[in-house]
Amino acid sequence: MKYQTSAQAIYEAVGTESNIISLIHCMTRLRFRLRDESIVDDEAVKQIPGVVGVNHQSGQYQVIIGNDVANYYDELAKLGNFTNDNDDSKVEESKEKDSLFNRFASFISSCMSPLIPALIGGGMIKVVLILLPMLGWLSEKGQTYAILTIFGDAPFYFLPIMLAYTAAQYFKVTPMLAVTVGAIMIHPNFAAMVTAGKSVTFMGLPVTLATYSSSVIPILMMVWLMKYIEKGIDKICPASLKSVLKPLLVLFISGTLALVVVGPIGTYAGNLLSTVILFIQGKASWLAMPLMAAFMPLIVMTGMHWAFAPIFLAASLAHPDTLILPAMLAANIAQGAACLAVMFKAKNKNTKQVAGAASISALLAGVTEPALYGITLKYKKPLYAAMISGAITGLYMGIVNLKSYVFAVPSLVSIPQFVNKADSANFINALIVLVASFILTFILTWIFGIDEEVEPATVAASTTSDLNNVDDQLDSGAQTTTKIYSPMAGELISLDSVNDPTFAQKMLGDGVAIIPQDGHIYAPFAGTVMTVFPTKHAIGLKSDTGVELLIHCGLDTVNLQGVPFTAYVKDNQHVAQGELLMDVDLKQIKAAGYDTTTPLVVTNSSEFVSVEPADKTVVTANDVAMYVI
Amino acid sequence: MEKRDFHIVAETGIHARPATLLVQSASKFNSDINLEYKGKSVNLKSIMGVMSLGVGQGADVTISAEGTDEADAINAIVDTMKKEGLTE
Repeated sequence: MKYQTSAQAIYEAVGTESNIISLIHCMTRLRFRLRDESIVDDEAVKQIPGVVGVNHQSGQYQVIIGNDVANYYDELAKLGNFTNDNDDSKVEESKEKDSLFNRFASFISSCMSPLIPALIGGGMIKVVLILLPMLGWLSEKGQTYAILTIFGDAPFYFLPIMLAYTAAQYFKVTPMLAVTVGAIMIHPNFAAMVTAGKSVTFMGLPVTLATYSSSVIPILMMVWLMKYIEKGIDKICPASLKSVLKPLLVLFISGTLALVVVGPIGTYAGNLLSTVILFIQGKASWLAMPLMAAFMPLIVMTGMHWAFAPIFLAASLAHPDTLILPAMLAANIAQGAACLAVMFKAKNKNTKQVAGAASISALLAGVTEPALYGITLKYKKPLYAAMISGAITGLYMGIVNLKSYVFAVPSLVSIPQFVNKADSANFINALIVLVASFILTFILTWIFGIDEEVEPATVAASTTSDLNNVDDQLDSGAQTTTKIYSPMAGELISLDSVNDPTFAQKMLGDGVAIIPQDGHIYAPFAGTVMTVFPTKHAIGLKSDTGVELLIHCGLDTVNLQGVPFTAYVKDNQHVAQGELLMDVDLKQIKAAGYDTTTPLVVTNSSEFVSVEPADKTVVTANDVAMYVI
Repeated sequence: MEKRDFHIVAETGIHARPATLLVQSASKFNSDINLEYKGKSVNLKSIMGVMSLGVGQGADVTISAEGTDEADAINAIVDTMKKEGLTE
């Protein structure tokens, strides 16, 4: 609720959707690209609860929030349709750090994640479609069943269209042009040509008869290409004709490329894979199966499994499939088991729910898209667990030569596809694979664990510096947030209310002040003692994150020549947050006629964006007194 | 290198407000400017450094500047010292 209210206020303050070009966030800030920054009232934004500061920097309007920025971002994302601003610089940066596979996986899952609700919806309808006939509540021959099947199939069948939209946002392509190209690829009339199977040419160019429904990679490749197509057309297209000529040219070129160039790449890759696998199977069948079972998730993702369609669609008693369907059994069960483990292991409630639904859909209906795109590919380790388990159970399947006698998407429910009265061992082996795949994957996923996003509320103080490092990496050279804990128990007041102009006018730097209750002074952060003043009335510290803080105990107390002060630390000594630095006899200071108010001043505050007092009036040494950002 | 010795007469020595003003005027220049007291030398552009010396009344300090604008820097610091009553 508090995030929602503040997000709404921020949204209005920056001029709503009409003024927002894009919005991203890093570890501590919302980073807006605005059409006009001048219309925003900085002071008004700062007054919004949760906002600790604002900053105009490198073309961005930054609203500094703190570690729970993601919650505000999520609420903001609901208010308007902001394209994610994939800064080239940011993409460059991630390129350096991640392996090719990691980059690929995170690209796929970032395009897929907005689709997860649709995939789960479709997957669950398919589960219902299996359960209802089993209970005798619905006939598989009725029209209700047929239409419900359409409900269940729709999100998978039209995957390329939906992906076109999310990929267009990723690559900054005009979304509806990309969606149209996706629609071209699965247009019913084109699908009819593919089904008819006669060779097709387009302006004399050969068109590959490929099935694009439910495919993922072809449309992603296409949208990536469209980024360059659009750029090129932007350059050559005269401005006066752009609104007509650009969509025409983009659609024409992209549509042609999709059917003539990108289609064949997928098909040739699939055929090549099919040839290689069948060759391996011919030479050493025990080797082909582990490969297929392990890589099945990736093969399905690229749509290359269609190259094997003649084998698995025609599975029958006379010609059982010993390759694709058995491998899918291991792979589907593994996906389901991995998600089940994630469901138990995850802390985030939303992750738990998605994992649970994805698990049911994979185990019962053999629909693995929610599992793969919602969970395993996203967290990667569960995917590795499923792949390792696939390789092991695949080896077993290869050795016993497991056969599927009917085409059905393998799952718990469709396990009878492995039944053959003449070969009872085959069904037993299928059950062994099923159980082994489940147990192995579950255990491996449990052991590997998941690197879940840290929930902001649970971020412990000790991890702040780690988070800050991440922030630093995200935004090279920018400032970090350092929490300055109160060194003393007492009343927290603003620095400008201190009765000494040097402090009140912030000549030494920005900060806060404490009216202390007792005389213990503790280290406000982990850092180094820069200096214990010779008169011991003040101590200078430098945090490990680079904040220089002066704790000045009392006003004008330099005149007491150190008498009421006992220091326990020396110059250059490293201290942990909360370590006792000094004791002060407050009574003695008062008796001598001095004010005990203790300013905490960030003497290098000019190096930081902002020093923000904590929203508290009474503090102990365990409370944050201010944030240096 | 420009060097100048000062005898501090202010009651609180080089502390708080005068220290801040010294640092502020030193920070305007490119030269490296140091404050030396009792054999210890600190950067005059660092408030923490200057205050940590605990220069009291009656102390003798040396300020040195080295760089392209060293003469101007020293003159500005002398002005600040006088204006703030640190020295006579």
